[in-house]
Formats: sequence, structure tokens, C-alpha cells
Amino acid sequence: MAYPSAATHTGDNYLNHSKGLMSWLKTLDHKRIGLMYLFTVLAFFLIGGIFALIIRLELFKMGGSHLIDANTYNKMFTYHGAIMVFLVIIPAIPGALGNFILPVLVGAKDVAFPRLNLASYYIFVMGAIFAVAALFLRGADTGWTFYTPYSIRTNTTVILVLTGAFIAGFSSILTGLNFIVTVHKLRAPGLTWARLPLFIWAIYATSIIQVLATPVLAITLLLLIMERVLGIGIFDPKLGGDPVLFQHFFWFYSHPAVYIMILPAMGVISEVIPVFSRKPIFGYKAIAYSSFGIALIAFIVWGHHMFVSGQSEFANFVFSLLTMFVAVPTGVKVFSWVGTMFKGSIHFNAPMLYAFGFLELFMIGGLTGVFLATLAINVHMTDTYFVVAHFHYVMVGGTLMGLMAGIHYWFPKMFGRMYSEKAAQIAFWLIIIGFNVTFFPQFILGAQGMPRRYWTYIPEFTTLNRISTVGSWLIAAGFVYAAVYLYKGMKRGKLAPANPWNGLTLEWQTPSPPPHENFHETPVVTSWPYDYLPENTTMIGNS
Amino acid sequence: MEPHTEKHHHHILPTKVALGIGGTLLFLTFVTVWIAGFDLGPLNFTVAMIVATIKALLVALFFMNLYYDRKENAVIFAASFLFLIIFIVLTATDLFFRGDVYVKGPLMAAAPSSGSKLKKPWIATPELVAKGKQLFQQQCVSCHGVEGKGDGPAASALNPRPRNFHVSEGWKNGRKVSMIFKTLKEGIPGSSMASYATLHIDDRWALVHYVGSLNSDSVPVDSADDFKKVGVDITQESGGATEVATIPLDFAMERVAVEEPKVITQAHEYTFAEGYVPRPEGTAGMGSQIYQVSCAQCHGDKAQGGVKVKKLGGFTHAYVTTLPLSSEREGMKSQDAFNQVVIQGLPGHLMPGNGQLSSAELRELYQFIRSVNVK
Amino acid sequence: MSNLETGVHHHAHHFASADDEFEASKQGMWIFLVTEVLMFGGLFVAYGIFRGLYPEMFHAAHKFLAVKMGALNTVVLISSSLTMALAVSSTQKGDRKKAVLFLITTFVLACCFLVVKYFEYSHKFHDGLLPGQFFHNEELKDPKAPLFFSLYFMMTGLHGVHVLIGMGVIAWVLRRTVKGEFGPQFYTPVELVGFYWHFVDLVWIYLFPLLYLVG
Repeated sequence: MAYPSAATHTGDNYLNHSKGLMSWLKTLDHKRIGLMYLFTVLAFFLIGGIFALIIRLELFKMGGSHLIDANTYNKMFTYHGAIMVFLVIIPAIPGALGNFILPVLVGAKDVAFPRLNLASYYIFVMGAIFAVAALFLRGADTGWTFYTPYSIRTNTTVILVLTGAFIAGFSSILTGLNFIVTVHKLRAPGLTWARLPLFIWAIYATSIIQVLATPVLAITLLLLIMERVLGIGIFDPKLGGDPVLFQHFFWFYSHPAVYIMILPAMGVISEVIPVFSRKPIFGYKAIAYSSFGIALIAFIVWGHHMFVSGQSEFANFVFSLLTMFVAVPTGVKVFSWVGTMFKGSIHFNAPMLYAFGFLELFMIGGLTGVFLATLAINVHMTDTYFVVAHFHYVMVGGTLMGLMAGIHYWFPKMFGRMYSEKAAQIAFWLIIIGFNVTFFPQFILGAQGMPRRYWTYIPEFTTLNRISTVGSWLIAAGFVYAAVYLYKGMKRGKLAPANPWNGLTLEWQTPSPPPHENFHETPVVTSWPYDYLPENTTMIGNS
Repeated sequence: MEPHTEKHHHHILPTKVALGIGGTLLFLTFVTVWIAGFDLGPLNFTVAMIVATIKALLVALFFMNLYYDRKENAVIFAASFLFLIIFIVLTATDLFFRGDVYVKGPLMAAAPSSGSKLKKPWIATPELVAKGKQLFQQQCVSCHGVEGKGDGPAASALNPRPRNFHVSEGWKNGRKVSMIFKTLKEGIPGSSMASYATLHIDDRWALVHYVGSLNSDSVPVDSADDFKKVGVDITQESGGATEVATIPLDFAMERVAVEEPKVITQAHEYTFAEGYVPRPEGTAGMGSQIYQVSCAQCHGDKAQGGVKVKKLGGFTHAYVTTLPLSSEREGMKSQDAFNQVVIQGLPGHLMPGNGQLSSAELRELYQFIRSVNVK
Repeated sequence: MSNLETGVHHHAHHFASADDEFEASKQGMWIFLVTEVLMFGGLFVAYGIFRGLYPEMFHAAHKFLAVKMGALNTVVLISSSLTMALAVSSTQKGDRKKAVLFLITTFVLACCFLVVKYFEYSHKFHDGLLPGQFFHNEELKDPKAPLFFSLYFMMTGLHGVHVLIGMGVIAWVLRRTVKGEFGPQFYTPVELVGFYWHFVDLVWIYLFPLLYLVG
């Protein structure tokens, strides 16, 4: 396989367009901003992951003793949750992959507001600094959900973490705003809505959620800070307030937030599966519209986090019923993806492996979500490990698999080089096996009654907990290995052609890595990006 | 590019229009303040909101140009209000439908109150007995059993046991109609029989008569005074009671203020039973020390039981009385049985498990309890 | 970036034309206002819920608000919206003098708003009508009254912060107008600041009756 040699491959691209640290820190290039997000998010993933490993180590109960005391344990799961939710899973795909590839996918030179884009990144970093600063002070032990009244009374540095989340929320809002205007106003000639790649549909729906939901988080955190500082009483029954009102405010954002997490991942999967099945996507319109369906339903189901909070029976009934509906557009997508693969010519490259991983893990996670939406089951499973397993399956199994699929899919475009396919396969299997070993036992533990956020458990649960901990080591090994071969690929991988996967979307029509302005000439779109013909089964791929 | 003639979205708001809109807004402000001076009841709110919305529309359509601009922007802005409505409506399905006593408001149904709608409800009728049977199935069977024999699923955990209505002995308040009424109204302090004053008075009368119907032994007749003592006035057709179907706070406080069980904080000197040989090397008394720390609070100094326990771990309303740890108890019959009970607790009972004791400690504890066993 | 005299505005390179850039910027501003609707909206939801739960308390408490000052502020804010709209249209017509005049007037009116607010708040502090745990007024006996004032201070306070920010951006746009950066070819920042300011007015249009008139 003859790849172009280094000599012929050099050209002006966004990586060598300008040099020096300041050219990166002051860049207005969405591709560089995307990379900065990518590396920042991965750094926080490492930190959040370390807290997870500490939690699992404590729950291993070696010799029946405790590694850390109970108060420290509370802080560990608070940090793990807050960092993973606010600094990794929510910003990851939109910030890293979205920023990098969205303008290219719509044939634009940049996002609508490049300076705002850079500001978004720095706002994100600032929010992260506030949140992480708390770690070095008294920390926070409220859980990432900050429920009242404990979050009002605890004397840990909750306000710092709240401020960090508040600030980081603006990053999310501004990114969403930028993407919506970009999709509306900067599409290349000929790129009608019906020809829009599904990743764009997904990011667009995500951006709408970001813009509508995140401001409510802002006011919620502000109210909580005011309650702590001024005792305004909105959440205090003595003054006529209601602590459950906090939960309504909190989950009005945080439930749509989980769709901010998963929709972009679904978008990645919708891109990867047709390419690696050499088949047009099945149900293009269905997948596109179901993204909106999910985005809309996202806003009317938040009460299912509150079934045992003291919420009225009527609200319980309403929210349980409404939650069932979200399974419909989700099922539409899964069916369409499987329909795409049917009679396709499947290539098991790394992106496709991660797509399969996504399907397996998201199916389990999603279905257990239906269990939890069922009121009668939820009252037994709430606050047990069943819930923990459910959301890890959808968040890690869903979003993280989507992120990995996207990173491997667009890696050649981003860096102009290929990673080692063999290494990628090994890492994938470590991660997927490790994941199932870690989290599947937790469904059983939860069903048997093991509570979550507990520093200890009855002896009967020891075996499954230990198995789960061993699984966490496998995941860690997989990700560390992934970091290694991806880094190597970045620096010394085989030079990548413009279109290694023989894809039809716009990003593959420009060199790898793309020039500073994305395209040498403004592209004109004349066809649907999923017209894979049966004879088009060859792919240069990654040998 | 000439802004005047080109596309609409470069529309310039004519000064006359601007002044006109401004004037209208000021006028509407005056109107809304003026109307607020009159008391129109709920209409005040509606009128104020209508005026505010008109003002808002004027600002949005003309000052913010939406009237002349592409529809896209108006749709985007209007959509945000849709989600705000979703937020408040669904939150209201919780906050306005709670059913708690302390949350009151115009949207809450008034607490069902006031007196009986029956005529002479203290006299049993077949209808009342039938209704009482229905209610009994909902409210009482978990403790008193399907047939009222005191053998419901929760009964085994309770001490004292729930009343077997078929048996005439042991009724705390006696079997008179007025007394059964009193029991339902006030509960029985020191036991798990709660007050059922939250039920409507007619429901309680029905239950009274059903419970009475389970026992065919003769019952002394109540005097007017008997009824008066429990708040029923038989000179009035419906018994005269105008209770609100809630528990008065002071009544509840009184009932809840049960004496806290004694907490033993110091180890006592024990006289050991004959034949008990203390272990050498300072382990003598280990059993008694463990007992003091882990068991005496509930089971009493000398394992004699009879201690009233109000709170136990997660149960804030345990209201049980402990049993003596006598040698007939299953858990005292052998070291293994004892270990089983202590480590895992007693399923169906409130006795919690204690997994922290080593086998040596369990041996000492068992010996200790046997040595101080009280029949 | 642009020059009133030569009428040339260099639009950003990723837009096909200045008009595209203007349209995109405008839409961006509208989306930002959507986020503001949701943020303030949260407070309105809290208001709605508590008002529904405790209507008598709200009625009793709202009588302690200074309706005259609130009405005055409403007049002030509406007038400032008018002057802001006139500032935008003056810029669109190329009349720099008028644009500056109207922008200054808007700024001054905004100051007036904050001054009136200052007096209002001082009275409240003096009378002990404070939020939450700081409430200590003897006349208003309802035990839940602190809640009303918590909402009052949170809502008018957040609004006041937005007025302050508005003054900042108006000053920024004023400075650029004086320097001749805007005209018929390019007036986007003036228009967008105008939108922000009108939105601040919009929030007050609802705040005033809900808190002062029908509580």
C-alpha cells in the first residue's frame, strides 16, 4: 500500500499554519480549539477516573479494612461524579469532535462566532479551575447532585464547586449557540437539510438542549449559593420553602443534560456505521427526526429522578408515563442502525468496533432505564447500585464509546496520521470486557439491595464488589494503552490519505489534516452523503 | 447597499412609530397601575398579565424588530416560553398535589372535615358492618390479619402482638363500643397501634362495628357518659363531633413524647450464675462488656427484656418492647443458633444483625447471657 | 473594522457577505436571549409555585412594596427602551449626533433606574423587610413572609445586575459610536445591544405587576 511520502505530503495545514504556544492559545481556528478541548477533557477524564479507581479500591475491602474514612469516601464520589459529568461527558463530543468537524461537515470555513468559540474554551477552563480548587480545600461531599438540605448545611467548600459548574455551564451554552447559528447560516451551497450528515442533526438537537436547559442550572446553582450564604429560604421548610423544589430545578437541567451527553454519541455512531458497513444509512429521516423527538421528550421527564423524594403521587404517575415515551425515538435509532448493517459489508476497524460496543452497552443501559422508569420497580431500586450500573452503561457505554469511535474515525483527519489498528483492537477489548466486568455485577448488587454512595456493605456483597473492582483495573489498562498508541500515532503514525475510510461526507473531500480554511475551494454539495453503492466495498482502511 | 429599499431585516423603525409605541407603553403602564387600585378578585391578576403581555409584544415586535424581521428569530424566541411553561406545569403537578397537611393553597382540596353524616352511628347496622369490613381489609389486615385474629404479616415483629378480636381477653381499653372508638381515635400508646384519627369519623364508626362483630361474647352497654368521655354526644343525631380529619398537634406531641429508653453507659458489676467459669487472662467479663455496649440498651441489664424501644436505626417509629433472652428462645439453644441470630439479625423482627463480632467474642457473649438468664 | 465616512466594513472571512454576518450575529443574540428567558424563567417558576401555595401571604407581603417607586422605574425603563430604539434608527440613518445623544440618554435613564432601586432597597433594609433569615419586620406577621422578600430581592436583584451590565455595554457602544465606527453599512453591535436592553425592559414589564401590583 503506497502512502504518499512525507515530502509530497507536506502542505499548509491547520497544524503547521502558525507556530508557537501563543498561536494555539490565541487561535480562532475551530480545529485547534477542538483539539484543546480534546486534550483538556481527556486530562479531566484521567483525574475523574482516578477517583473512580479509589472508590472501587475502597469497595474491594482487602482484609476487611478501610482505605479511607467515610467522609473522604463521600468526597471521592462527589468529585468523581462532578468532574465526569460537568468536565468530561457533557463537553467531550460537542467540544472536541463537534468543534473540530462540524464546520468541515457543513462545508464552512469556521463556526459562526470564532472568538466566542475561544471564549467558550477559556470559560470552560475557568469553571474547571474553580471546581478543582475545591479539592485542595475542604472539598465537597454532597454528591454531584447537591441535594438540599445537606448541601446547605455541610461545611465543605460547596460554593467553589457550584461556582465552577455555574461558569462551565456558560461554556456549554455558548458552544450550543455557536453551533445552531453555524448550521443555520454557514452551510455550503447545495447542502440542504435533507443532505445534512446525521452527526450534524445530532449536534444541532444537542445544541438546542444546551441552550434551553443549561440556564436553568445556572439559576439553580445561584439559588443554592444564595441559600447557603443568605439563607433566603426557598428550599427551607421552616421559612415556607421546599427542599424538593431544589430537585425540580436541578433535574430540569440535569435530565436534558444526559441527552446532551448521548445525542452527539448517537450522531457519531450514525456516521460510522454506514461507512464501515458500506451501505446507506437505514431510516435517515427517522434518525434525524428522532433526535428532535429525544430532545423534546428530554424536557418533560425529569421527575423520574424524584420518585421517592416525597413528590406527589400524581407527579409520580405523570413522570413515569412520560418517561416511557423516550424509549420510542431511541428504539427507532437502534433499529435503524441495525437495519443499516443488515446485508452490509462490515469492516471491523476500530471505529466500527466501538460502534458495536456502543450498541451492546447502550442497549443494556437503555433497557434498564425502562426498568427504572417503572414506578413500582423504581421505589426498590432507587439509590441502589442498580441505578449506578444503569447510568454508567448509558454514559460510559454510550457516550464514551461514541467518543472513542469518533476519535478513531476522525483521527486521520485531525492528525494526518494513522494509529496502530492492532493496538486499537487490543485496547477496545480490554475496555469492553473491563466495562462489563465492572458494571454488570452492579445490576445484581443493586437488585439485591446494596445502596449507592455507601462506604461499606454487608459481607454477602463482597464477591461481586471485588469482581467489579477488578473490572475497573481492566478499563484503566485499556484507556492507558489507548492513550499510548494514540499518542504514538499522532507523532509517528503512517501518513494518512485524505479519505482512508472511503467516506462520502465533506470532511473526506479535503486533505488530512485540513488546511487552515478547511477547504481549498468552497465545496458545492450535490448529493446525499450516504450513497454507498454495493460495488463501493473497498476501503483503504488501516492495515 | 441601501438599507431602506433592500431586504426587510435592515428595516429602520420610523421615528413616528417609535414614539407611538413608546407612548402606548407608558399609557398601558398607567392603565395597569390604575386598575390594580381596584379589587377585582382573581381578575386583577388576569388583567395585569394581559396588559403586561401586550406591552411585551409591542417591545418585541417593534423595538426588537420581530414584526419586520425573518420569522426564524421570532420562532426561536417564542419557543423558549414553551419550555418555561413545561417547567412550571410539570413542577406544579408535584407541588400543588401533595396532599400534605401543612401545605395549603387554593388549588389544594380542603381537608375533609366536620362531623358524621350518619344517624346514631354508635348503633351497629349491617351496612356499617359491611363497610367496616371493606375498610378493615385496607387499613388493618397487615397487623390484625385477614380475619382479625391478630396474625397479619407484620404481626410477628410486634410486641405486644396485635389484638385477636375473636378472643375476649386482653383488650387494652376493653370491648365497649365507646372504647373501640377511643382506640381507633387515639391508638394505644406504647404499642404499635397508631391513631387512625385521619380516617373520616364515619369510616371509624364502620370499623368499630365490624371489629365488634367479630366477637360474639356479650359486651357491656355504654352509658351516655362513656360516650361523652370519647367526644361523642349521643343526644345529637350524628354524635355531635365536628372533628377535622387531622391529628391535633398537641395530641400528637403528647403521644409521641414516650419516655426514652434508659441508656446504660457504664459497665456494671455482675454476679455470675453458679457454674460460670470466667476465662483466664483478663477475658473475664468480656462477654458482659460486649453485652453492655451492644445489647443492654434494648434487652435490659440482665437480659430480662421488657424494654420499650421507640427508635431503632432507620425506624423512627419502632414502638416495640423487647423480649427476655431466656433459654427457650431459639437463638439461645446453641452457640451456632446464637451466632446466626446475632450476625444476621432476626428476619421479620426488628432485631438488627451485628457482623462485627469475632467468634471468640460471640462465645463470650453467649456464655454471659446464659449465665444471667432470667426466666 | 469599519469606518462611517468611507462606509466600508470588512466582514469576517468565513461569512460570504456582510449581510450574512449581520443575520448570523442577530440570530446569535436571539439565542442568547432565549437563555436569559430560561434563566429568569426559573425565578418566575419559583414565584409561581410559592404564590400558588401561599396566596394570602403574597397578598399581605406585597403591600409593603413601594408601588410608586416601582411604577416610576417602569416609566424610566420604558423611556430608556424608546431612546435605545431611536439610537439604533439614528445609527441606521447615519446621524451620529443623534445616535450619541440617544445612547447617552439611555445610559442616564438606566442610572436613574438604579438610583430609584437604591432608595427602594434602603427602605426595605430599614424596615427589616429582608430575605430569608434576615427578615425582621414586626408588622408583617406571616411566618412565611421572608420567602416573599427572598423572591423579591432575588428577582429584582438579578434584574438589577443585568441593568448594570447593560449600562456597561451601552457605554462600550457609545464609545465606538463617538469614534465613528458605525453607520448605515455597519451597525450590528448597536442593534444587538439594543436587543439586550429591550430584553431587560421585557423582564421588568413582567416583574413589576407580579411583585408590586398583584402579589
